[in-house]
Amino acid sequence: MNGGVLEVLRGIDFFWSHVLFGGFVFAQFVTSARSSRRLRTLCLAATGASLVWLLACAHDMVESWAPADLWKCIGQTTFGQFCGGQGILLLAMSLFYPILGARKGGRWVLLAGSQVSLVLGNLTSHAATATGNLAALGFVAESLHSIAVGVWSGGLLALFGHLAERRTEPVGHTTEVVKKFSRLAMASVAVILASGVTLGYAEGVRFEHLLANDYANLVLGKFGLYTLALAVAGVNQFVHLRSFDPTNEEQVAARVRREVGLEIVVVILLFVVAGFLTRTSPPG
Amino acid sequence: MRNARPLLVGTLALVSFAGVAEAHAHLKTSSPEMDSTVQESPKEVTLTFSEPLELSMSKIEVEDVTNGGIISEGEAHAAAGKENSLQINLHAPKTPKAKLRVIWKVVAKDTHKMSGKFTFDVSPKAAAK
Repeated sequence: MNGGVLEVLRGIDFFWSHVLFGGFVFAQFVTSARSSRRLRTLCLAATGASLVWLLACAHDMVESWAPADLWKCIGQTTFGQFCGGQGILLLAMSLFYPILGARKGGRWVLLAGSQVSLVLGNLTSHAATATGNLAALGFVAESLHSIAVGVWSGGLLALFGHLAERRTEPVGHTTEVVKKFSRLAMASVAVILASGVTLGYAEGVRFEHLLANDYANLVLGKFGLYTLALAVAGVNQFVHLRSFDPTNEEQVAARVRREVGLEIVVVILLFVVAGFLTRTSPPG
Repeated sequence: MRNARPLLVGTLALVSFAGVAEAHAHLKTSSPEMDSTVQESPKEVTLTFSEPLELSMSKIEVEDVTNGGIISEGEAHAAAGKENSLQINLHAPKTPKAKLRVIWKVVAKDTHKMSGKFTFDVSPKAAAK
């Protein structure tokens, strides 16, 4: 496969697995919601994206679509075992969601499952397979980065959906949800920045050589998009929420939703850049 | 949903972000070294890479350019248990003096594919000089 297809598929796989985790975090900690059809849809989307990525990457490695060759790759490589394990886990979560989602303990299981799925997806990354003095630092930074990105991106999508739904809620409920998520998002972006810089350093990116190679260029691109997303989030945090009028919560919700929609577009861009990053060898 | 429009536009714009970078990893060292001349035919060729490898997906082949035919035998395996190395056994070429070509194709544990080739010469008289 060429022409960036693998990179885009990896970005899509990244997107759904992170959004799934963030969706569960949002449901557990921001809205304390019960079982939702949206979360089950996310499970299915993440499962599909994971399996498509698994098959596409296996095909790229063995250069064949023959089932026997693909199975050999999946069964005998570290990538196949971890990514296959991720796909099986996500499929199980999708199948058992109606049972687990209805129980409080079950929802914690789903949250943990989505986090394990994230970790499995990262176990064949550059950072996880690297050797050398900075390998452990890189892997820890990547794990934290992944969790924080999931909380932020998944939360954004969940918030967008929450604001779009019509429901009879007490006055102030929507604003409370937005404020709760804002606090969670601020913590997440701080972790994303710190872990992202650490991960870049561990992979050999240096400030004075940010234009020196493809990997550094992509890191710079990611940083630019991240800054743009923060700027959009800043409008929500420092303009809309501060000018909140308790008698017109619907208008506030509409404005916040518009800005969240813009943030989601930028976050999607970030994920595809991340997909290209995973397919590029770091300088370190 | 109206507000999905910017989402769709953004995604479509993003899909055009293609072919920016190609994955690649590096052959760090080889034994024998590329373009070198050795006095006698080696019993194995060892390649060391910059990343750990998926051995089941990795191959080396050594061909006798001078006399024709493949002189590598068996499956490639890790050298001395090192995950970033690959080694294959050789039988002797048909003549004491020969040019040998090493062709390698490997997959790293982070799924990146790499391939390459190089030659080295077996020449007892040249080395003795």
